[in-house]
Amino acid sequence: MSDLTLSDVSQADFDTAEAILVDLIRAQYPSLDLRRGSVLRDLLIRPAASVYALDTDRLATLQEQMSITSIAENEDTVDPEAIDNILVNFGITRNVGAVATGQVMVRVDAARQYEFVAGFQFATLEGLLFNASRNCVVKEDADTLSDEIKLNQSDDGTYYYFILPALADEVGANYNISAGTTLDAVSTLFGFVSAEAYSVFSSGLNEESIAEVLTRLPLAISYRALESRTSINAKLQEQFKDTTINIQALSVQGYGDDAQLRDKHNPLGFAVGSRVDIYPRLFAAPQVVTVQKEGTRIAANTYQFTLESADAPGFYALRSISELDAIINPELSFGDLPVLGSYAFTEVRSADGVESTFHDIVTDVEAAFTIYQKAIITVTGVPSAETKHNFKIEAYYDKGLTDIQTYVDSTDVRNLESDYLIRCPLICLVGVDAKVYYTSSNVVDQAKMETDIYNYINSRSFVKQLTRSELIPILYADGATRIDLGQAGMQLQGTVQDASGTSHQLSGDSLDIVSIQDKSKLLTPETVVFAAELESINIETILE
Amino acid sequence: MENYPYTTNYSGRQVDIELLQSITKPVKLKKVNVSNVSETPKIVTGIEKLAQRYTLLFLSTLGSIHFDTDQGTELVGQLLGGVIQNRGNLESAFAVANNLVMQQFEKDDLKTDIYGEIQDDENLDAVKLLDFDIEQATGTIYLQIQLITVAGDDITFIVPTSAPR
Repeated sequence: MSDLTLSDVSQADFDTAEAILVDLIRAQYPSLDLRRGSVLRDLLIRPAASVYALDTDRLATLQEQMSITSIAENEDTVDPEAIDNILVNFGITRNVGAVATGQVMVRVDAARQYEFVAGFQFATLEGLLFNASRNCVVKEDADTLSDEIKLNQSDDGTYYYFILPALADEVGANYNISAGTTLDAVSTLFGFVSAEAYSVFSSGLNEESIAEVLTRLPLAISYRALESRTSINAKLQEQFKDTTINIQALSVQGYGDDAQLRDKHNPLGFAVGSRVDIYPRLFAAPQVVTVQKEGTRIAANTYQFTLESADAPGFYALRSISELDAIINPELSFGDLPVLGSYAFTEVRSADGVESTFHDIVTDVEAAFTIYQKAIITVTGVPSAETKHNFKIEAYYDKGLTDIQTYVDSTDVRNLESDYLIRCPLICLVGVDAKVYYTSSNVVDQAKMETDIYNYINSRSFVKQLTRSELIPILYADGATRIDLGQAGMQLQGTVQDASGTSHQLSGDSLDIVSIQDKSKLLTPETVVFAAELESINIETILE
Repeated sequence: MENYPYTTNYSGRQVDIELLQSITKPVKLKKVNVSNVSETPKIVTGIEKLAQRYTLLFLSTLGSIHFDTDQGTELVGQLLGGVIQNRGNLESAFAVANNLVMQQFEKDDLKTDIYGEIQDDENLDAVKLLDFDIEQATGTIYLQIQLITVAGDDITFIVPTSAPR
C-alpha cells in the first residue's frame, strides 16, 4: 500500500477528487474562480486533488487488504505480503507450495565417471526445469553407502544409465510429471544420450489460495494441543507450517472411533482410550517413492526381498515392481493397483521395530501404514535365472510421516497418557472416463476439464463417497453442454487397499467407501482419502 | 482600435489571484512578465482575469500537467524546439494554439452549474492577432493579441515569451 504513488492514481479518481474539491471550495467561497486556466485552480485544486485522490486510493487499498474476503475476490492482484500480514493475526501463514521430487533416468554412451553438482538442469519439452538435488559421483563401482550412484549397463549393452534424484526448479503441481516424460539436459553432460522421468514426480503443490486458507481459519483460532480432533490438527498445522510438510487434511481416530483398534488390548476387548491414530494427508496428487531393491531367487522366476520401514516409511501400497531400467506408461493404470506393466507380486506386511518404542502395537494390521511396518515382497514371473536380481519399486506413501511421528512422540509435546500413531491415509485411487459434448459456439478446453476434475478429486479427504454428481457441475462449468451418463458414458472407478493388503474395487455412480468399510482392516470413511493421477482422468470431448 | 473595460464595478464577481502583475492596470500596450509575481498577490477579475487565464492556457505546454494533459498549447514547445522559423510558421502556430485555448475556455465556461455564471466581460468572444514578428537578431518573438469579450470590450497585450532557439 505504501508503494502507491501519484503514478498509480487513475485519471478518473483524480477527476472525482477534483470535482469534490471544486464543490467544497465553491460552496464556501463562491466568489473564487476555479475554472481551468485560473491561478486559484493551479494553487488550490490541482495539488489538493492529487493528494486527495492518492489518499483515497491508499485508503481503498488498505480497506481491501484488511478484509480477507475482499482479498479473496482480488486474489490475482493483491500483494501476497498483504495476505500474510492478515493471516499472521491468526497465527498462520499460507502454504507457499512445494516442489515436485522424483528421479531422472539418464542414458549415456560410455562407462566413465560422471560428476554432478546440485542444480544440474534438465528440461521437459514444455520447458519445465528440474535440477539434480545433490552433488554426486556416478560410476560403475559406486559405493552407494557414500552417496555415489551406480552406473548400469543396459541389457542389450548399447548404452549405460543411472538414476539421478531430482527436484523441480519451482513449486507447483504442474511439475508432477509422469514417468517416462522426456527430458533434455540443459546443462552440459559429456556422453549424454537421453533422459526421462524414471518415475512419476510427486509432492509438487501449488501455492495455497486464499479460499483454501479461509477453510483453515477455524483451526487457526482454535486451541492447539494434542487433545481434540481440531486442536490436534491446529497443533500439527502450526508446527509444520513453514516446512515442506503440507498437511492438506487430517483425520483422527481415538477413543470409541471405528478405526481405533489399539485401545481394546484387554481380555474383555473394551475400549480404554488413550490411543490415538492420526491420518495426515500430506499430498494433493498421490506421492510416489521409488526405490531399488535386490531380490533373492527363491523359486523358478520368483524373487523375494524385504521393503524395510526406512525404504518407504508408512507406505500405503505398491504401485509397481519392474525391471530396474523399465519406465511404465502410467496412462494405462486408470486407478488400478498395481499399475499395468508391473510384475505380479504378493506382499506380507508386519510390524518392524515396535519393541524399541512405547507404542502399543500388537497385530500386523495395527502396524499398517505406520513407520513401524515392513513388507516381505515376493515377485513372480521374472524372466531371469540369476541368484540375485535388481528391481525398481514404486510405492505410494505420505512423505513426512516420520517427521510427524517424531514430533508427536516428543515428551515435550505429547500428552503423557496418550499413544499417538501417525498413519498414511488409505488412498482410494480414482479413474474417471467421460464423454463430454460441446457446441461450436462454445469450444471447451479438454486439458482444463481433466485438470479441474483431477484437482477436485485430490481435494476430497475423509468423506464417505465420491459421486458422479460432484464431478458433473465441474464439467458444465468448463463449458460442457451435455455429458453422457449412459452405460458407455461417464465411468468412475476406484481402488482402495485395506490394512490386510486386500484390494477393493469400486465403480458406478458413486465410489462409496461405506459399502466396503471394514473397521477391523482400518477401512472406514474416516481413514480414506480420494486421489487421482492426471493420467487416470480421461475426458473425450465431442462436438455436437 | 483598442477599448478599455466598460465598468469598474466588480462587486460580487468571481476573482482569481493575480499572476501577471502588469495586467491589472488597463493599459494600451504593456509587456507582461511572469517573473514579476509578488509575494503578496492581489486579486484580479473582469477582463484582466480573462487575459490572465488566456495567457496561462496559451503558454502552458500541452501534456506537461499531470492529470490535465489536455491543458495548454504546443506553441512554447514548438518555439523551444526551433520549429517556428519564420512569420508564416508563427502565424500558423498561433492559430492552432489559439483554437486549443478557445476550446479549453469553452469546456469550463459552459459548466455553469459547477463554476457559476460567467460575466459577459469575462466571456471570451473572439481573439485577434494584431501584430507578430520574429526578431532573429535578438532571438525573440512578438505577439500582440487582442481579446474581445461578449460584452464588446477588449484588451490587447503582448504575451511574454522566450526566444526561439
